[in-house]
Amino acid sequence: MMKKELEKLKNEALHAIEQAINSKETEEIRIKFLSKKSELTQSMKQLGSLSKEERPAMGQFINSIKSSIITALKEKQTELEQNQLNQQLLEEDIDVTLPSVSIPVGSRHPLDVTVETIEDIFIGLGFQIKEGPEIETDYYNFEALNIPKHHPARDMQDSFYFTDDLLLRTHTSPVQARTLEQTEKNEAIRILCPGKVYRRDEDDATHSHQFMQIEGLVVDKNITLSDLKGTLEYFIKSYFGSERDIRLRPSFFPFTEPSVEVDVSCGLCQGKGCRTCKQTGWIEVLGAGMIHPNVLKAGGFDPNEVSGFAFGMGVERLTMLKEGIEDIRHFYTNDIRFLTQRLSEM
Amino acid sequence: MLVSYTWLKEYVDVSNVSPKELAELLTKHGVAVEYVHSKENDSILELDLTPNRSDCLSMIGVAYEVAAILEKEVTLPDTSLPESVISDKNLSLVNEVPTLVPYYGAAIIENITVGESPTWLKESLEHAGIRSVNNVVDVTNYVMLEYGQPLHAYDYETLTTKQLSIRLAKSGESITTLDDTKRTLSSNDLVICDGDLPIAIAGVMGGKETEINQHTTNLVLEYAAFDAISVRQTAKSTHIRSEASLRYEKGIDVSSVHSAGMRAIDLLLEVTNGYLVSLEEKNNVQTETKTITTSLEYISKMVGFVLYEEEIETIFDRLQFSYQQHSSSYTVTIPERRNDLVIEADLLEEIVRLYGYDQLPSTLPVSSASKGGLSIYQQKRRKVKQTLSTIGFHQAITYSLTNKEKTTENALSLSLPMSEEKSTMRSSLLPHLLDVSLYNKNRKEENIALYEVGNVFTQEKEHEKISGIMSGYWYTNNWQREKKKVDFFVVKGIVDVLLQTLHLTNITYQKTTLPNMHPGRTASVYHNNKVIGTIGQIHPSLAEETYVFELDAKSLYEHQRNSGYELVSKYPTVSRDITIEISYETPSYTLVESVQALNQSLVKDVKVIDVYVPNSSNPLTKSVTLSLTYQNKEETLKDEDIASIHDLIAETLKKEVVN
Repeated sequence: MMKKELEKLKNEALHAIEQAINSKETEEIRIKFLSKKSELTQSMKQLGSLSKEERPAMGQFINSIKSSIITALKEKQTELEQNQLNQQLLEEDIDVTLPSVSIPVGSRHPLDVTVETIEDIFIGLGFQIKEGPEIETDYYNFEALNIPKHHPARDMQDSFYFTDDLLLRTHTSPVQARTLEQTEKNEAIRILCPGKVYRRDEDDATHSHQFMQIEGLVVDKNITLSDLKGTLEYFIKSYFGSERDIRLRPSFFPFTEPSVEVDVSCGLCQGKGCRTCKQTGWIEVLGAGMIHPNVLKAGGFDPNEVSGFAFGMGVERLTMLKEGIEDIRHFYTNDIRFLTQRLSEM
Repeated sequence: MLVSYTWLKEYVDVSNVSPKELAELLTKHGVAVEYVHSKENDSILELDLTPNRSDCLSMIGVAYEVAAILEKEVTLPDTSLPESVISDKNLSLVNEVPTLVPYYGAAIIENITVGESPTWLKESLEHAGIRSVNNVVDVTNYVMLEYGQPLHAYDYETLTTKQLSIRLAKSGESITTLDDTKRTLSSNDLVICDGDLPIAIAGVMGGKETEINQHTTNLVLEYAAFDAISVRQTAKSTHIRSEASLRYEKGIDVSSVHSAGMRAIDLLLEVTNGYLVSLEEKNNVQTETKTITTSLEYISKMVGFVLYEEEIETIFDRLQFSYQQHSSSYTVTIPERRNDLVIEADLLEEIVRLYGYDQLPSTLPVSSASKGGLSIYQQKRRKVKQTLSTIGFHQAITYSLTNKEKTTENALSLSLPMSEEKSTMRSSLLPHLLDVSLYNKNRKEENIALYEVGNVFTQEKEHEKISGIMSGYWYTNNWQREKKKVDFFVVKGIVDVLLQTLHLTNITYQKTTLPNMHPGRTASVYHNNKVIGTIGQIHPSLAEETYVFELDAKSLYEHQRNSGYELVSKYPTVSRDITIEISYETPSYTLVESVQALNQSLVKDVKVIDVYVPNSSNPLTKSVTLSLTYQNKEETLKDEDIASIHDLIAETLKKEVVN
């Protein structure tokens, strides 16, 4: 065969490959152009008739034609396979807008989320989390906290008593008293005590016979009122936002002296005065003060040696303020439609 | 306490502040003003007083506070003894209880005309929220508001013996009070008597018999100091909360009883046109000057920065506290009106509140306290809650007090419950979780998964539980027609996840029976052969297809992880199944235990993968298929190694379990 003919054969093959639309056709092309009986293979056999000088060049030429056909054929096959897969995948098409399998998803109770948020703020300030029993003795709930017998706060009508001595704690402050008592007198204290407390109230939109409090206590040499102010300012800004201000007002609690009520600037009116803050621009959020010397003494500390501050806040109130919840009973109804709102979370 | 801005002007110059400004200043300095009510020609400041500031239950007390804030003087009314007339009227006093009644004064005023009060008096009372009655009663109320000193007037003519005696009531003795109510007294109650007949409950309410009326011509005015605790007890036991008892309960200023009496006599003479006849006074007041000593060092140390002598002295002057200075310490004389000030810290509060809390810097404590954070116990509690909330449970918080019927025998009950529903401490979290579940079901919530972590109580102790409740579907996908109904094994899976999360291994379940639970679908959960909780279906008579678990939190939190790093083996595992027919009653886990008991190191895992009951209408036996996973961590397993162990296991099971 002449080069010219071989060239023609190659072009014919490449054209056929290009036109092929399935693997059956590519197989036919392979047989036609590359099998033993093909013209190309046959032409190799005819090399012997050529002169010694012509033979290698012609052999090389035939091989190059063969390899171009093989390459083109392989490319085509790959292309066809790819097309076939693409076609198959297109047929596997789904409606992505259909609903998912309802993987169960739960929620945390908003009060517990608030507690953990506040715990974490104070942990950042080096506080430990302390807990105490919900059923307390008269001593830790009152006596050790400078609330002597006949004090109005000890009214049987205000507390749930089991016996003359045992009652449901009315605040988380007994944890203060217990911690003071248990701590080595040369050690410093920095604790936060969250927990359930109980008062003899009829449940309504703003009262609950069971609610949650968080108590804080810091005792050391040289703890000052300015430290109290700074700590609470840090807390309020962390919890409510750095744009909020705080105000300390003199107040009264039996277990602190001096005592203060702490207000946060109203977030609804930016302190200008609205219905929520009763036109004052301020909202009361917690009570605090320097630990009363009698409380330190009851815990075995010498008020001339150490000082400290304590503060307490209502978890329900803080959550209600932050989330705009109007009725405290929602927290204890546990309606799933309320819980799944995932309130007080970040 | 309602404070009239106009009335206040009689004692202190408030001309440079508006009522609203005054209210803000008072609040900022410790006497909270709740509202400012605007009236024609006046503004009323409604005080929300803390229990220690009973000195501000009087206009003069408030005036001292305002004067201290505004740096002004206080002007007091004239209380010199009015002139008296000669008369045949007389009265004697017997005080049997001088410790409870340290001061008692009685004045006779004759020829009075009882009638309407002058406008200024009526208006003043009205602005203070007190209804005008007649000129006599109005004066007693006016002076009570002015001095914080309760007063009472008796009709002189109704006194038969003309002898007033002050004593404790006899048990069972009775009196009809001004409100027309007959009161039976106890031996703790102080009474004023005409001879031996009670005519008033001291400091609480007067008697009907001796009440001033429009025909009264002569009166006896009582100005006295009664013991605070005694009055509080009587007010409580008689359920009378009067303006008088309110003030006595908080403790009055004993030093001004006489002044208040004189002021009242003066006003009575003016408005009734009567004449003062005589005064009888029994004074047993132990007057001692009360002082508090403080120092510059103490004050500076407590506030956290240095205060100067001048600053502190200015504050004492503003409060009208006299003091003596010895080097850097001060001995401060506390006026009687401020009975709330007892210790140095009280004085510190006075200084700081007038200095202004807004003037304090904000600092953080510099402390040697050890590092903060959660205990391991608390961290694990958080992990439990996070896990349950992640795998589909909603966290509930329910009440600790419950109905006694929902508790066990050993439950702790309140001595005076408010209601049956809140009478006893819960001994399990499940009854309230069931209530919450039913509440939600009634609101068309079909799938329930709720949990609570909280304390339960017995008569001996309180301890923490982790409890959950489930019903409906665990997951669904309607259009794919896939759903999984909650059953025992879903809840068991939840418990397993929870226990694995906290590294508890060697967990087993044993069938048990418990009250209120399905007798065939309840189990105890064991960890290392110790019961750590229960799991099962609530008795169908109580709830439809509802499953619960309750675990002892302490067992979970206190468990320490005891497995360390183990090299992941590169040699493959091989699985082989064994099917064995055993008695229907035999727990399938018995097979697993038998395999484990062989203690073959090549057996990596064994689990039940199929159960088939051949005759389900009369089940006697069941076919249980175990899947055994073999692995040699050192080399590739050979078939013959597996075969010999597998045969051993099959034989052992037949021998031990089948028979």
